[in-house]
Amino acid sequence: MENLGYLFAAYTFIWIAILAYVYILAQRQRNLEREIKTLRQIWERKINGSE
Amino acid sequence: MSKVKTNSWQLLITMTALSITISLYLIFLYVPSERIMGIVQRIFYFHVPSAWVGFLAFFVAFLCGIRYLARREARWDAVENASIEIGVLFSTIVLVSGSIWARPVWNTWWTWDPRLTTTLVMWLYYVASLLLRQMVEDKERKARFSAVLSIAGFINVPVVFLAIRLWRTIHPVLFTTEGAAIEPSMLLTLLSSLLSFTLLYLCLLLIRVGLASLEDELNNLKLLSTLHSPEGVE
Repeated sequence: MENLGYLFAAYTFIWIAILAYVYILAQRQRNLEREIKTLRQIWERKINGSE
Repeated sequence: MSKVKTNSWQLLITMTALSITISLYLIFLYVPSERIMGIVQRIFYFHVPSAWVGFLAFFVAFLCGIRYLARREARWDAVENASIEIGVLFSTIVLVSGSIWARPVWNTWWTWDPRLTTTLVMWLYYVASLLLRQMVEDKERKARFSAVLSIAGFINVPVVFLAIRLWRTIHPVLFTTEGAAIEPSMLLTLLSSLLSFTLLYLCLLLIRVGLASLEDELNNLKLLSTLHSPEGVE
């Protein structure tokens, strides 16, 4: 079991890098969806108000 | 999202998860340890597929760059940018996992070997191209600029691949004209990991492209709000 630490370090880094990227993408998606929803609501309120 | 799209997406996610689980089983429970390097050689089964995904991602970006310049359709720019981003992620993984592997085997974290040096140059190029893209404001100019960079940058990829064949190097050559220079169980594990990483690349690419279309939708909504309101919408 020599060099087990290096194996552990390599696989830990790989999974952290991939999961961090997925997390960043998920956060960005959530923020964008929230912004789109807010803008749509403002837009709908304006249309309804002008009628 | 339509039902067919949702089902295809779920199938892809399931296949990716299953494939990664099988690969992890093969890597840690099935394949024997390499005689000289021992257990640390198992880094190889995620290191090589990461390099493959990096090459694949830059190749896809290269094709999309050509397609964009020929057709000027925004979707090719979105795929190209997404692919470069994923390629940079997996190239980073290659550099770091290779460095961790090199420490016990070559007794150094880094050496200016042709394969390592050309990989670092390729990585720097694509990181720079992502940063330069952010500096251009106009959407069409940005896409054109990015397409040219992705086409020009692809010259790096065959250089990285051929570096161990063209120059004297300490990096092992795995695939020769006589076939793969590894034992069948190791080859099976490697092929399984290659499949897993290719599926993972597809998943990430689809998520990232979807994000780009959301960004477009938001920009269009903002533009629409500004055009129809004298005060503008924050």
